[in-house]
Amino acid sequence: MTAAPGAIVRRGGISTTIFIITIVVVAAVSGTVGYVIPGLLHPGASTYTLNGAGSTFVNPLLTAINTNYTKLNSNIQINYQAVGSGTGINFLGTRTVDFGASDAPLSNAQLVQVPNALTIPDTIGAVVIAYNIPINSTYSVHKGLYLNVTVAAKIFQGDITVWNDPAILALNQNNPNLPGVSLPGSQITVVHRSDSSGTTFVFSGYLNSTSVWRGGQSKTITKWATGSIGANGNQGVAAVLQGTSNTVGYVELNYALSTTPPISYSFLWNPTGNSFIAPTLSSTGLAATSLSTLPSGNGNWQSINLLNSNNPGAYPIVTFSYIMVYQELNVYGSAMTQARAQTLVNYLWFVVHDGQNQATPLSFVALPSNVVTNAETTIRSITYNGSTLHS
Amino acid sequence: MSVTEEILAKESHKQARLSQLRRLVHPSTDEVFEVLSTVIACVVIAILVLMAAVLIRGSIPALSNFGVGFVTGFDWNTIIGQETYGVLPYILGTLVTSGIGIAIGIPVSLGIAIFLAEMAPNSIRAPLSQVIELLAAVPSVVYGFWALFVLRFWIISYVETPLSSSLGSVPLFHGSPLGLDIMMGGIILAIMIIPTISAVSKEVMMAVPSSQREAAYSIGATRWEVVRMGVLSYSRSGIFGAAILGLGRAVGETMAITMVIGNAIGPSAIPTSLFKTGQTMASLLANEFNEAEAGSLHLSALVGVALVLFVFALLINVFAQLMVWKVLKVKAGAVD
Repeated sequence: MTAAPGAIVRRGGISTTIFIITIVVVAAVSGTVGYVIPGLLHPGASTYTLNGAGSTFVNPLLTAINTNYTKLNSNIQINYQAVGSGTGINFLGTRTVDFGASDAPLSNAQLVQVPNALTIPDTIGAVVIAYNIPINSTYSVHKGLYLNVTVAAKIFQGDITVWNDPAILALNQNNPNLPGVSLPGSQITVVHRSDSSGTTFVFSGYLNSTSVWRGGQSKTITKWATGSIGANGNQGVAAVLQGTSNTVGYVELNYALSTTPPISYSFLWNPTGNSFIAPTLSSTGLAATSLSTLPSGNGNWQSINLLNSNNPGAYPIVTFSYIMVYQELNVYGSAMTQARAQTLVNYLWFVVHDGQNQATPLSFVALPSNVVTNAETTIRSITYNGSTLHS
Repeated sequence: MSVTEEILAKESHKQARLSQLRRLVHPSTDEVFEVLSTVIACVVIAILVLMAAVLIRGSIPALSNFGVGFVTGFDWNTIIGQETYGVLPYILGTLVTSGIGIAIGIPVSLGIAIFLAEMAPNSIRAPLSQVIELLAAVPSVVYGFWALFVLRFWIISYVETPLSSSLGSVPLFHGSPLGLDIMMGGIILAIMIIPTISAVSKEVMMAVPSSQREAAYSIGATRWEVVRMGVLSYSRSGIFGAAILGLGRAVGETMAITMVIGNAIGPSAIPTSLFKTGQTMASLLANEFNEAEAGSLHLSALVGVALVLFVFALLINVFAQLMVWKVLKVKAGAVD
């Protein structure tokens, strides 16, 4: 179709100019309204948005805590992005967020990246070994296969390849959880997290506590058994486990307890208690209770290890999850004010106190009192321009 | 020169100066448009250059540490003190899965396009075209979920298990069919690129002038011969372009493939069998980027992977351009 030069071609409908003007006007109006309305809703009170980023593991808990906090303090919004622990600390390093959340303590590199940052435990997590052993070739749930760290390490690196391996049978001779179940001779397929994650870091730390394990401790392990499957996230691992016979993998406790259809998970050997411990909220919490001393908030937390706790009733694969925040909040420059700093400190106080009430319903472990006391001291040490914010 | 002429000349000179000035103050829409579109075009180039610069700068630590070994190596160890990074398995994984995707995707897409452009009655063509374009817009994570929870089990029972039991001794089909492997990755890529390739190919075929078909019919060609001689050869370069568009999507696809490829790492990710777990460059980035620490060699290695992927995408486009030119030269005057 051609038109004479200079002729105006009308395509019908509204003219482009009117269309663009409409868009601009709508954008301007909605932008202004969005900016003004929160102020109208809370006359007199300034509104604050606190930004946090990091761990995906703690995300369900923090989301619940944040919703509750906003309900109680309607002028405060908490914006938490579950972008992964490493990225959370990166964001804190670039002062993009007010707090970071990480499943691992600050590494030496990170201590340089976020100088003078405080470490505040916000919850306790556990990792369970989940599996799918079909009985009569159908998917069935039978929790409580007995394992210890040596056998687990051998399974996950491919030294043990079948369920009826003598080492597994020896542990499960008189296992009351599997009455009349004979473990099949099928090839075991290992399922691991493909995304680098704090879960893998903790789990490989547990396996690394035996000299048998060759994979070391890292957020990404490359020494899994040959033919192992990498799946994305807890959901991915659970989906592969439930959909594939003769698989073994690891997922977070809260996920294992609440997923549907239910998933089988093993009980692990605790040498101090001389027994196999089921992963539960209480057996996880016990690992932190028996810690005699905790580092100060601005100290180095790398030595803190909840793995293989010497508490006789404790489940062995347990870890803290942390919130990281700067001790002196004037590092944010003009982006931080006295009132905003105060808001952040109040929020952190809420997280380690009332916020912990959200833990149990979500299958997270509430912080024991000795940890809360430590967190209180840390939060009290936060300053803005040198003066403390919490009395 | 008479006085009148002199005055007139002066007057016209004045007029010209005035209109020049006026243009400076009130540029015509044409000029504004020209400047604007030039600026926008430059922005695109600037983004490309910036991207390359950032990728190169970020990957320098890894590249200087491992040199050529970064591209030819196959170990991947993130443990501090034992760090080694080699990208070869993921380059191969990307090539093999995209190759499978293209190998399955192109014939199926061409079938769909030929049906829609040449055979389908109008009452079917319009709604079916709509549906196919809709499929192209489905987010890749949805394809991934469907593949992980539904398609995977069909592929295990109807494709992988029969193949494994009949051809299991061939190295290409070694391993147990779990439905989370190179083959599954290739299949989901094929499914994802079919809408793109078939929609574009259909448009290209529809654009073939009917004189081409009439000419073929007039010399007694059958329907297939008409399609082959009149339509396919005429629209060859357009179809090729569509295939490259599909290949581009396959190479860069991240979420869906991460969910089904099994995400092997290190030497075990080398795709020696279709029933082995693998990893592509894009899925590796999706898996590890979030938790890589700033300033670490790990992060630099991941940026290096992104650089390799970037170069790959550029090469594919350059290659596609060359091919299209070549095809056009051979079939001079056939298109445009």
